[in-house]
Amino acid sequence: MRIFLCEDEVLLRKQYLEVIQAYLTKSKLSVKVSELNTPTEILTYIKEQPSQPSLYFLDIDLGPQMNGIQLALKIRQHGPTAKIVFITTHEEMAPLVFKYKIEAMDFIEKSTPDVMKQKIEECLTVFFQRQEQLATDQPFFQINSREQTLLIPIQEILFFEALHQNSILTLHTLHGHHEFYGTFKEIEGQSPNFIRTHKSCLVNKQNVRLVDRKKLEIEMINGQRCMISRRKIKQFFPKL
Amino acid sequence: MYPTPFYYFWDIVVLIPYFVAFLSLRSKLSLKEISLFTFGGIVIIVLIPKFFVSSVLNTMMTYLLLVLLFLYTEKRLSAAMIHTSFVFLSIFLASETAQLSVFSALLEETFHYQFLLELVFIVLYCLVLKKIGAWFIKFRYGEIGLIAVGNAYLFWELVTYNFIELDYAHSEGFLIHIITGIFFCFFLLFTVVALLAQHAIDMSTKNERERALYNNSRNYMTNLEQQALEIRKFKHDYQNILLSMDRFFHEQAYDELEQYYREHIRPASDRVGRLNLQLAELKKVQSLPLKSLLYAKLSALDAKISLSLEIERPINFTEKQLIPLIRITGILLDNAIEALQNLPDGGTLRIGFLYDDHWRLIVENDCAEGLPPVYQLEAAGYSTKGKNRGLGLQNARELSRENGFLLTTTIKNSTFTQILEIGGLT
Repeated sequence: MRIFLCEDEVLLRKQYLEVIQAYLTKSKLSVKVSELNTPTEILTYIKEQPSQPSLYFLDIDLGPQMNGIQLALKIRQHGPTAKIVFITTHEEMAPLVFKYKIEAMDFIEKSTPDVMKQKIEECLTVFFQRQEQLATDQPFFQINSREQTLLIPIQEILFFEALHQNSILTLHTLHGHHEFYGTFKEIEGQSPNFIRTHKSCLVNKQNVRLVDRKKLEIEMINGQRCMISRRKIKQFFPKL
Repeated sequence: MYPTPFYYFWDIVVLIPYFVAFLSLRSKLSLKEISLFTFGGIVIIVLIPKFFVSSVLNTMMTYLLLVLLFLYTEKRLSAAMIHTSFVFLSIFLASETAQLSVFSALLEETFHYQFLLELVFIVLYCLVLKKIGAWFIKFRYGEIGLIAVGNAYLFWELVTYNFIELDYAHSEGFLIHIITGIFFCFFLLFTVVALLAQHAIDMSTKNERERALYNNSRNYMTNLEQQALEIRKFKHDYQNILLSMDRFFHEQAYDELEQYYREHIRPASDRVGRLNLQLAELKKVQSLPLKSLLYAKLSALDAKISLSLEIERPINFTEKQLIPLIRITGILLDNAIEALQNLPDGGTLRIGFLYDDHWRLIVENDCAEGLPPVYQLEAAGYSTKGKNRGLGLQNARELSRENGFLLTTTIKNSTFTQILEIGGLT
């Protein structure tokens, strides 16, 4: 694991570094922290080093060559799993760009040292927690929509539904629904829990609450319903 | 030519493609629709042949009934007519194909084989016609063209069919002319009616569109005037503030001055500054209707709602994308603003137009904890506080589908997120 800090203001960089070092000593973690001044330094560094789980604290205003957002996009190309935290003034703040374009973990607004210290510590805690979670190897479903990739934990997936036009699939999860272009064929094999219950439905078996044999419907654990054909009831949910 | 049972047989056969066509239109059937279509089917098989002995009238009544049934499910006259002519066409084409010498050589020319063969072809033609229709309808005059071509062919088939039939029966030239005339008038009339109806619908949607555009622009103007008025008011207040400060300085009442600053000057300037800064992003929106919609919704936000607006680069949509986009944007913003207004302490509304190789509109807002799952919010008629919030979400989803956009709706960690991907698969 590695932590990168990119801030061209020397005093501020020192301030952040102290907070990070203090946090690491307190939690008895030994993680290398690299201070880098310019975007070029970071980019050459990550090109030479093998990729590993890393956390980046990036200032948005990094001088004339490249701003923090452009740098973050470059970092993303090298390591899609890199965790990025932006340090930004109120004027530069663009929360949705951070979240949806860079998939940044968080952002810290420049303010008093105390507030910032708290925010930095929060980010570090989240980062180390995520690393632990990744180690437990929770399965994810991946939606590739053009340039973005969206990871959805398989245990949150209820079912996929096909619309009769185009090739839009709707993924229903515990939190809502996502639409994307795809086919059942591409998805079916991605988890042993996925079962095709109907021409237009692919269900995550682990989240089924009950099978309504009369109405030919499946009720999911949040109460939402989808279709199942008679033949598939016999195949997947035989009467005991 | 044929034994009498054939007439019933022919009418039973009518039902099959008619169900196939219907089933291929809708994946989910309501009980009401199924029973209605069954009833219609019985009328076609049993009642119509009984009352209208003449096959000409029989065919026309069947045609009318089918149009009515499809009109009920499709809600559009032109679509109903296209489906009806598809049903007829597939039957005619199927029976002609089944009678080709290739097949009669292959099969014994018995009644059953012919029947089965016809069924297969009917299903086949129905599916093919549906595909062709779906492709055709994308063009500007596609619908009208389909109706015209469909009806013309139908007319031609019916006339030749009746020629043959009557030739065998009576060989009376006069009757044939009359029948041809009736058919011709019937389909001509129907085609004209459909074309006129289509035109009327097009005109009314166009008018509606223009009215919406006009209303949006007018709102924008009104808002600009409002802003000018507020600036004048601010100027006036500013004078007053200076005068009061003058008085505080004069009396050297610095504590009171500080209190006055905190209570009056600071909040006012904070709000003015924040709102204008965020709304200044709107300069990147080039289309006036979208700009005025965003301006109208966002400038009227409660003071307790904080706003963040990000527009990555100048926005310019084609008119085709713009019209549904404006309607969907309106719904998404209304949803977000309503959810925020239900929060006692307010919250943040974040709006972003992000561009990669297509645009994404993201609307994110804080919302109350313990909201029901999205699918329940979306169900038509659901309301948090008596308003038709659910209807909005449903409409947005339908609009987005019709235009090939992708809409994602999630509620997670007390954040309500709506993402619209604009551009479709191109």
